Amino acid sequence: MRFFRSHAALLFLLPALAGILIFIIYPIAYSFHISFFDWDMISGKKTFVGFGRYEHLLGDPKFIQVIVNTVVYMFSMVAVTVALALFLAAWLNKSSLVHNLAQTAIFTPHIVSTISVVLLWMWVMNPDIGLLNYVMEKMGVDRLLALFGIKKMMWLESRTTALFSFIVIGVWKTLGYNTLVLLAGMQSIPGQIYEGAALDKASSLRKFYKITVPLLSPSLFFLLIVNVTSSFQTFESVNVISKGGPLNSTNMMVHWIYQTGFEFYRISDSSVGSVLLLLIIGLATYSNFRLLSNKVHYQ
Amino acid sequence: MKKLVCSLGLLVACLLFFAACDNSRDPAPAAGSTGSTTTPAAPAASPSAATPAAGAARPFEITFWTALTGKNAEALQELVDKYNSSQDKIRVQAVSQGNYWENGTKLQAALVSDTYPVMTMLEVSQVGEFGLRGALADLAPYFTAVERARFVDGLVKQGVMDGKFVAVPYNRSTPILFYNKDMLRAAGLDESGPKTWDELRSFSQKISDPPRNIYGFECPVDIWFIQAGIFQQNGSVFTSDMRRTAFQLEAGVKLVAFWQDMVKEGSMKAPLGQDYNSWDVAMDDLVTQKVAMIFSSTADLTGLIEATDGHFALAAAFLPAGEKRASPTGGAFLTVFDKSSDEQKAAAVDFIKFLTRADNDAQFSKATGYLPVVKDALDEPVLKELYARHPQYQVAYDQLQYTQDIPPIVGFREMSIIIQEELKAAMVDTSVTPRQALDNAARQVQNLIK
Amino acid sequence: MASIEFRGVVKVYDKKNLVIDDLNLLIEDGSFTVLVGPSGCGKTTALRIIAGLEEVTKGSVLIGDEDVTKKEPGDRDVAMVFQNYAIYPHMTVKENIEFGLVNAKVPKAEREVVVAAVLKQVGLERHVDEKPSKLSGGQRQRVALARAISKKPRVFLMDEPLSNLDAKLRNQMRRELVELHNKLKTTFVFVTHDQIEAMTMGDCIVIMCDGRIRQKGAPQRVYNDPDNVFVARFIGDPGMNVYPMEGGGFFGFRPRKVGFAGSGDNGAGVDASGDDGPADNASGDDAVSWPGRVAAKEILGSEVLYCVKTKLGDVMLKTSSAGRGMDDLATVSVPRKNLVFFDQNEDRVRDENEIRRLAGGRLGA
Repeated sequence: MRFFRSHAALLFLLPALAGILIFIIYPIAYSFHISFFDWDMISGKKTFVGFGRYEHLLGDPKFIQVIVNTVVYMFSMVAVTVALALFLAAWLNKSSLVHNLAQTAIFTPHIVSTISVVLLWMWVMNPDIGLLNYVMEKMGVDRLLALFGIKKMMWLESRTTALFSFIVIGVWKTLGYNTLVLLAGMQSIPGQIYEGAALDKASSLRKFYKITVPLLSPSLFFLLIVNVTSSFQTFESVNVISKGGPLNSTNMMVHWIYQTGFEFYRISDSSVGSVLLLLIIGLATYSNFRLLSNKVHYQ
Repeated sequence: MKKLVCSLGLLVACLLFFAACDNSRDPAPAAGSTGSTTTPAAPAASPSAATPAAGAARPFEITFWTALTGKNAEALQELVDKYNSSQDKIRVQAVSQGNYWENGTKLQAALVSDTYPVMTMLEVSQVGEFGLRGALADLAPYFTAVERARFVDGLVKQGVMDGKFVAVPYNRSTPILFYNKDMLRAAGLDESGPKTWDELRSFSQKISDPPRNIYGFECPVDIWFIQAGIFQQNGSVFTSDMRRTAFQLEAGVKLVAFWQDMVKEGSMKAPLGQDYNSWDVAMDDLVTQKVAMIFSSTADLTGLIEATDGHFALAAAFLPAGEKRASPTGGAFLTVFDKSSDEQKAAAVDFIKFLTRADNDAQFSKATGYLPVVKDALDEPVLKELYARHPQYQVAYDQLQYTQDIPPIVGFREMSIIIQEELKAAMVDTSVTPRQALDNAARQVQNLIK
Repeated sequence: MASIEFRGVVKVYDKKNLVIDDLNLLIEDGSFTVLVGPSGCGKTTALRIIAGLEEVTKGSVLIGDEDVTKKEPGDRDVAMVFQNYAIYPHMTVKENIEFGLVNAKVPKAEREVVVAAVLKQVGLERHVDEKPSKLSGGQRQRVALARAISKKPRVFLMDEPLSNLDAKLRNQMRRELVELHNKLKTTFVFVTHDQIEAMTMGDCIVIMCDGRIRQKGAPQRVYNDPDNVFVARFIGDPGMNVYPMEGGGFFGFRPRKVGFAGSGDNGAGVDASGDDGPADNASGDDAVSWPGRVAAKEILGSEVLYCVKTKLGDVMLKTSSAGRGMDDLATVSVPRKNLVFFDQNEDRVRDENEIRRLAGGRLGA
């Protein structure tokens, strides 16, 4: 009984700790382990190769392209989404019927499941019968594109535009959530600070980036972390729409890991990918915190 | 801070230690990997089987992992139930794992954790993956020569590896040409369809009307149809020793040039979308009469007949000939794991023989649209009547005399994807020359050949 | 340094809420003017109108001789200190102070000089590079003040800047603000709801109620010579005792001007009879008195504040005699010369004849 009382905290935590240990820590450690072997699960042969698979994959241009795709996607998504959300939130920071309707409309994509969103966009972006090309044609945008030498926008079907199309879909899905977070942040900035700034002769633009943005920094930082980590997890869209194509241009880490391990039966390479992904995300998060956390102002 | 780092370090070290300990628990390589065909070595007992007591009061249970869903799964289950109720010595427990790929994933994990089933359904490429790694049992000892001769030649070839009979054909299919008779007739063309590549092209040119979005021919850029095209031009996908790629040679160039030219002139449409999405697009276009001729699988025949009933006359024909006729096969086989016990293997074979009995195979073929795998199934009244009513089924069967397939190779799925991607890109952007596309693909595929 | 003038200013919110109605006010150049009144009287709105943070519905505002009605707040050359300081939480003290200067494109050298001087003036030199979160309330208020000073404006506006400070700090800041005013000689406009603050700090008090000015004048004048009942009651701690008279009108007297009958104001002895007796501090004809009972007693240090219940009503009494206790019977008595009179409209009546007409013979009933 005494043991229980003096170790109560630990004992209460034990179930959760056990869960974390078994389902998170152990698999991660085991992945590390597998990545140093060449393991054929079907025949059962397991040979130790040290960094062999690492060397092989890091020398494979297709694998490097997957990493590049993922990083490019991540940067674009985060930059575009947060920037757009910032301007949208500034615009929506008033109350009127139009603005309230707009807020609802913008947030709706966040509620819809990713698969539905993805399937929908697949059809919208169809070069022949999709809504996007139809509207662009009606608005004459296609003639504008022709000036750049683009005959027809192939969206998801061409290796030059496929990743861009994914970014569009991703931004569309996450814009609402980001906007709302920033909107809430903006509304918690006391109005009198802006009045003080007005008296300090600050123009609207200066008010925006000297006051609004810095005071929004906790929200911005939060969105940065959340967007970065979630963009690294992109899987459904790739799996349902393109399976990494065309020509590997939309293949992203999580999809590559899944496909290599479970469709191509190369579990060792898959583990190498997992380990590298862990390192990349860890590095990204660490640098975010190190570089930016002292720029974040908490009130 | 130092304390924290130390304890974390200790934790990680412990975990890695435990993970490393796992090494010793790996099962010894399966006895079949080097190829003992006669007496199977002492196998690890499969936990999924009940106590082996032949002839005892309780029936011997074996597990069967399938990869069918929907109506096809129901058709199979009917036969499983029929088997189970027809005798009380063996009981088969059939469990659907989803589609071929999901099944494959689960099998991979199951093999490592010793929870694998006795028998399973494997898609053609998977037969190579699993068979070449020695996971599948050689069933030759269980079949007499007469029994083996029952199987349709064209369908059973891919189940034999290194002289071992590792896979029994079951739900097999082959690509055929589907076409809209009415559209052909309206264009003043021979209603029995194009017989050669040249005819395919000329027919398409006559029918196509791109401004109105009508095309003569549509074909998904899938490895199946790519193989077919290469074989039809007397080429092959790999060299005979399976060590080097061969699809980038003349035959491949001819195929890609043919398709590209047709796309450029507007007589062919290459459907967009990944994997089976593009097949759906092609079939949709056929049904809505936006295209006159498509390539698709016999497994789609039943569905297409239903969809086009009353709208137009749907016909089927052999794939047009290049320098010769050729068509690959697809679908899946029944296999038994080598790690299973002798008792389990015997039981599984008994069930397989039941499934491939003429009447049962005919029943399954009719219900699903897959090809009959044994020759005597064609004598069954159900199939006779079906073929009389819908001669399209006969076409698929008759084409089996021209089957040609790629021998099994490890990593085939990954290679198929590479080839498909490169050729699809050439269809979308026709400024890419056939040689460029094929050479790109060949380079990458060559790197994968171990 | 400039005067401020409101001409016919009307302010309506949401088309129905009339906050300020035809305000005409001249604030003298260089004065320390306090706008005071109860909540909702419009004083803050008036201040914000001067700053340009509120638009006028009608009328015009002039600063100096310039009509600034349509001018942006930043262009009016005014500075404002807010109740909640409104300093920028993410900038250091230095950056807070020089923000306005930076926006006005003042060159760096000049900025440095101004900022250093201002910091010295408010005593924040040691906190130059700290963020507001590390400062106390009083220090934050100084930052707000420093920010205002650095702009060298024509007018200083202050919106209840001391309300959030504790009592001792408040008193200190009051003194400092008055000193600052004397030093800079700029026009100060100070808004508060606390009439003590108003009385102690301003050299001109503007009392507002319901969007209108009830009286404007020097503190002493407003105290001794209120223009109406409202001002009489509002000014003073506590305010004047005002009661209605039979037949209309009101009269009143300051709590210090009333005493206990039968006692000198030095608290010697208690007259237990409580009833009419000649008052020591007044002869019968010169004073009016009422009997009552002590209901409350507050000891303020050098004085005591009594509340005596009489048939008039509650009479507040401030005296140095601490002798009475709770529930004691006592008679309050006021010399006639200390009475002030108002008519039915609550406006002050100063004319002797008018007073006699209103009140003659009716007092003490």
